[in-house]
Amino acid sequence: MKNDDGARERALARVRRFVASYVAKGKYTLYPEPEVVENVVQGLTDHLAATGKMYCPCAPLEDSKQKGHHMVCPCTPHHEDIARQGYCDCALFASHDFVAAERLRRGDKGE
Amino acid sequence: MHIGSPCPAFDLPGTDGKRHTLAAMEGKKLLVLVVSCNHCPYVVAYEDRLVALSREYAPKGVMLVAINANDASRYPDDAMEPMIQRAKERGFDFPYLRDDSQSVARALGARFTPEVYVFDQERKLRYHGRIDDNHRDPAKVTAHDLKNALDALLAGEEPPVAETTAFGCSVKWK
Repeated sequence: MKNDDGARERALARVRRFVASYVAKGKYTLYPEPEVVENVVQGLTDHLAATGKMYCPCAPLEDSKQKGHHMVCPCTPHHEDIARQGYCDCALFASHDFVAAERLRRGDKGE
Repeated sequence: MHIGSPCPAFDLPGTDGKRHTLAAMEGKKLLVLVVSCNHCPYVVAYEDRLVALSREYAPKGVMLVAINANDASRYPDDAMEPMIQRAKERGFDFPYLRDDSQSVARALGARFTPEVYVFDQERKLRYHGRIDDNHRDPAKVTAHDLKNALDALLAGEEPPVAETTAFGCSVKWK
């Protein structure tokens, strides 16, 4: 059990590093609801720990395995999804414009 | 959609071959709309809980309705035929409706599947958000937000928490 916990902790750390580094590239930012983002991070961690790959948690795992790297985060469709709706289908990454519009809608001054 | 907002009217086809309208649900004490779908793993994780919840609360005057608005041209598993199959396979005893124009999901302001809206007898929104706080494991749920809201409203009280953050897959907009 301890080994499993340790493996999951390592997977979680890897996912967090990946997410931070991807956002640091600057093209996209995080979806503007931290609870939603954390849920996706945990889902990616589940898949990484179970399969060795960060398959998107918002797609059926068996389908994703068949599609291979296309559904490994950052997945192939995420650019198109963000262009269409402002955020990827898992609601992990979002465009800066979408986040700004959401802050405006919620009356959030931005911290 | 803000707490207190009226439920948008709808007239949608169901997996039972009938059309279902908001008006026809008059008389039910509470109406629970679940923005749902076929393919989302989060929804799949909640299906048994939704069936159990419907069975537990239907005798108390609560009507649960699932609505699938996902773009079926991009996600064929969310078209009506697969919906009919899913409803049969999982024993849905509540209406499972297809919102092909996405007008109801847009009126609700839905973002995710599953995302829940509870309307009172006057069809004003009283709870919005998640079903509970753990889609992975029902045994590890610590906040039964939807059930808590239903119990409170049935007792004539305010939901302990009226809004939570829904999580899941994004609604697949056209």
